[in-house]
Amino acid sequence: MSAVDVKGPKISLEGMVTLEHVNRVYYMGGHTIHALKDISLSLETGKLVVVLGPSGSGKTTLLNVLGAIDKCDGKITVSDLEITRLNKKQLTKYRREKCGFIFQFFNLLPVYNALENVEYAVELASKLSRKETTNRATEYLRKVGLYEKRHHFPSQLSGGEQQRVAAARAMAKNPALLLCDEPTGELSVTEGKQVLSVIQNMVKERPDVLTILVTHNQKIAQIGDVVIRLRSGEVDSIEKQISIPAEQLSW
Amino acid sequence: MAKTVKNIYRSINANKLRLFTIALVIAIGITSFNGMVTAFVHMTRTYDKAFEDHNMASFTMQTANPGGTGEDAWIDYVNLTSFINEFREQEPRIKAYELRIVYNTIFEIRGEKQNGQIVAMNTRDTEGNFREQPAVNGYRILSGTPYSELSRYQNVCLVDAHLGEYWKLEPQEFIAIGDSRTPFEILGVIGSPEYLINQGPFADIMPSPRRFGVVFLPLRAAQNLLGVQGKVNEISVLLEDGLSKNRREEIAGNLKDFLETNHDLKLSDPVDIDNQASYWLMRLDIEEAREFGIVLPIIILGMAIGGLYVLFSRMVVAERKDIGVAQALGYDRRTIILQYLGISMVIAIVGTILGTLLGLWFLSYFSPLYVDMLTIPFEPEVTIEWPIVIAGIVIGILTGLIGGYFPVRGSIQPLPAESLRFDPSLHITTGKIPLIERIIRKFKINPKVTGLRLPLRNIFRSKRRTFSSVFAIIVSVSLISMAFGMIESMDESLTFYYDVSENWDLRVDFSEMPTNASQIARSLKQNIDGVSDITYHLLSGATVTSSESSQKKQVSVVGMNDSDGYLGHTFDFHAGEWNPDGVVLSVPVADALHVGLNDEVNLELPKLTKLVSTTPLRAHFELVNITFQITGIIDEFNGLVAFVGLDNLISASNFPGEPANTLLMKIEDPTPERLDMIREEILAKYGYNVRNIATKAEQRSELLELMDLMYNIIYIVAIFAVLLSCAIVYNTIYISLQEQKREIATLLTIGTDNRKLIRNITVENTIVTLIGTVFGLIFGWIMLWFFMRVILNMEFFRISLFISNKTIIISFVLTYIGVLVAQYFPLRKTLNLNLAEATKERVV
Repeated sequence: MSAVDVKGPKISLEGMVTLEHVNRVYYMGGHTIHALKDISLSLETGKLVVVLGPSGSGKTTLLNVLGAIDKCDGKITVSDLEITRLNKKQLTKYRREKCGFIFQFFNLLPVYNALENVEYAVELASKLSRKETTNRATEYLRKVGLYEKRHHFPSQLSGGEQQRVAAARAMAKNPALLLCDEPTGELSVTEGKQVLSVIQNMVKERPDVLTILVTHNQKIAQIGDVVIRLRSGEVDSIEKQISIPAEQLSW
Repeated sequence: MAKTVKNIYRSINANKLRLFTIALVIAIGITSFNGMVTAFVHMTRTYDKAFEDHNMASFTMQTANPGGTGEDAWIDYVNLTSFINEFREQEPRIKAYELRIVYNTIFEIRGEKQNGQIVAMNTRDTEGNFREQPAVNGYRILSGTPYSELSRYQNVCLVDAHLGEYWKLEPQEFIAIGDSRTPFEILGVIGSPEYLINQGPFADIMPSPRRFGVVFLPLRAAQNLLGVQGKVNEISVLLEDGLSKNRREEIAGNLKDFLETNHDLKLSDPVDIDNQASYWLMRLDIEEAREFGIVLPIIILGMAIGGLYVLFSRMVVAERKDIGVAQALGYDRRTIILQYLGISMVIAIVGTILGTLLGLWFLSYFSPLYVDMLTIPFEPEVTIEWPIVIAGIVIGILTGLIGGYFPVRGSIQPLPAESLRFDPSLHITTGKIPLIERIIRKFKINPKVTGLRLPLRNIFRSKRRTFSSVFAIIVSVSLISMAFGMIESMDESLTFYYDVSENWDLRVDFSEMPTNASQIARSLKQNIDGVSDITYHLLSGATVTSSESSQKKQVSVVGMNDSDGYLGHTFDFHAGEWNPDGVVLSVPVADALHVGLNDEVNLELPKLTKLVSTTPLRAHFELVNITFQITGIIDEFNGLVAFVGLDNLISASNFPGEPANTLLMKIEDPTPERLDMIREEILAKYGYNVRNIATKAEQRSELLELMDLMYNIIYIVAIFAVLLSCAIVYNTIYISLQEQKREIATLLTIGTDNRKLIRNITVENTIVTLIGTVFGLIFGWIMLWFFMRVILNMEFFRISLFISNKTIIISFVLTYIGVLVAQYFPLRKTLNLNLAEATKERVV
């Protein structure tokens, strides 16, 4: 994996992602909420890691600090890079080039069609030519089964389709980390399975990528290679398992 | 109910700055309404009271030849008194009358000559007792002392406030009056309701006190001065209160008939109080400013309604899911509408209170300013006008109701499920490629998705959104361009008038009309170095009529002498051309009379019937109708003017020799020093008969001084415009960015850096500003036309509408600065968003 060309520490994502004594405390309305309590983890690339827990367990916070969209105390190292020490500009570049996000509410740009949404991320993260950018975006839309609908705008796509576009957008820029936050939360079972299937396929295709999927649904957790259970901001358990193909799931 | 109040408080607290800007717009509207309307109510009432308290004449009637000599110029005071008393026996509605001398003559003040009018009244009543005030057309002593019992035997005078103010005249100072330059001691300075506005003849556009002043004399002193012992030339009559104009005119007509039929007097037509020059102008001025005071708030409050509509419609869209939840929890539609109306009411009430207080402050500033500008000696009382305050409150609250109710009513769905399903980010896009992008693609221009394409798509993502963004810019640009356009139109018209139309460097006005004008012109050209061209004009007043219209227009007729191709005036023709055989009319006169090129009009001109003496000129006149064909129509600053060939005017007027009132000269290298030198030379050689020598700069500055009030009003409008613009632009940009909060957060999350984001948003707002500027300038032009031609429709001035490139740039730049400032605060907030939260927000 190439180094990121920014001032300050060089970013490289070869090897492990580690979290050491990570804490995240919120102060809301006079109350202190300890969202993450002394989390220490070591994660390998090429795996689909499912973070499972009930509401308020800290799973989304964990995802956010890994994606550098939330701050924390402690040390997060992605390969040999301590992202918790990066400045704002470096964090932006880190997110742009190394992280792919799949949000619960899809968060596509409504003014762009499916192809353009994917192109945006590719163009932002790479120095490809316009043609190469379009080819890459088209290729990923084909992978998620939306080649025919590449010129459709989000308002013309179903929720599942929108989420698949979001998956294509996240993966097309060749991230090192794919961060999925309740990607099926807004979808029907059928649509959800399609999206999970797409994510599973991407994990298979890209052994250099660490995929982290956050869910509160135990059944969905079956698609992961590793399941981290969180409870009240603490790691309850870490289990390796044999993943079940998304098509076989039912919830 | 308590919950609704709590919700209203929360919403206001969350949007306080934006809501405050709308309250500010309402406040500005109410300020202008309260301030201007009340100011003019006060002034109307004050002047009505001044007219009433000082017994302003219901009508006046002069002798047939008031400026001349002979039988039809003067009437015996004693005889006229008995004739009128005789008439009063059959017409009891005459409350009082006054027999006066009103005579145009020359004053010499501190060695400077100027035109003016003497007004003389008896210092004794009909019983022979001394009185300080006349029975009709009284006045108020502003400084010095009134007449005393001895005044009738002395050469003393009272000067009108305008003249007094101009020359800073003080009691005990002397002023020389008439051809004989007889010195009169000034007893005091007075304010006369008859001369509230310093206006002599209608045809003279805004005369300066330097060209027209009024001095009041005791009747006997005036008779001695003019050599008309025991005579008067004007009857001023005060009728009972409450008579209609028709009744007044009927009584005036009866009196005229009575005096002419029974006593063989020759009188001119009576002039009703409504047609008295100063009174008429004052009414016109107040009425026009009152219209301005109503139209301006309507425009501002209309914009406040628009601003509220935009704000609420977008606020409701943004909060639609919350509304859905509230509905699902059991709130009925009415309660939710009431909640939003509550917010708009709070805004309206805050705006109205603020506006009312500011209005009162503005009033205390505006009324004295108006009075000061016109040197009006009657100060209006500044009091709170409760009906206007209440009207302002009602208008302010209605603004809130209208602006708040309709968008809310339209946006709340009958079924909560519809609101709950709703995704605002999808709602505010059409999901189409905008036309402009499709067009530029035809030219192989395909902006990058991370570049120009995003702002382009954002601009046209929804009609309502585009409309409200462009609307804000249109409001801003149109108001600013209109306000500056008003100032520029005035400046440009004046500049054109003095730089182009008035084609002379020095203008000489004579005290007595010479009848050897060409000889004087030749002599000046030969004897004074640097005079390159010289010509002379004969000026006269006339009433223009046509068979096409029942209207009559009183105009200044200029008899133009063509001296070797030099006319002293450069015409700006709307149609036709200069032809000394025809008449050239101004657009307002032609429009009023419904005539065009080659049509015929009648000019009622004074014709000399008997020449008593040439130096000083004393003559008898009668009015004659001369038909002229219109050969040209001009669009120039002076709106009430007609130009004819000098020979035609001389022949119509029947003047002997080569008469002229004015000499116009072009000077080689006309520097101020050179003009002063030539002025001194002319005064030295021809001083005995030269009343005034003016440069264009002097005339222009006099006029500008008189127009200060209008400029002040326009500056106030300009300040309002900029304030309004900032408020509306801030709101719209803020809402636009708020609507895109989740999108912006997503862009930042996936790695768009701040710089690119700011650039894209700035590009988007720049394009919106450019589009809005184009429409804003069109609307600005329409509003300029509306204000200048409909609201300030003064026929004295013909103001060409003009918006300069500088104003276009200023309108854009000021608006653009407003946009950049407006985008700065919400953008700063957005860039510091908690991305984790913002990307998960269900609503924008």
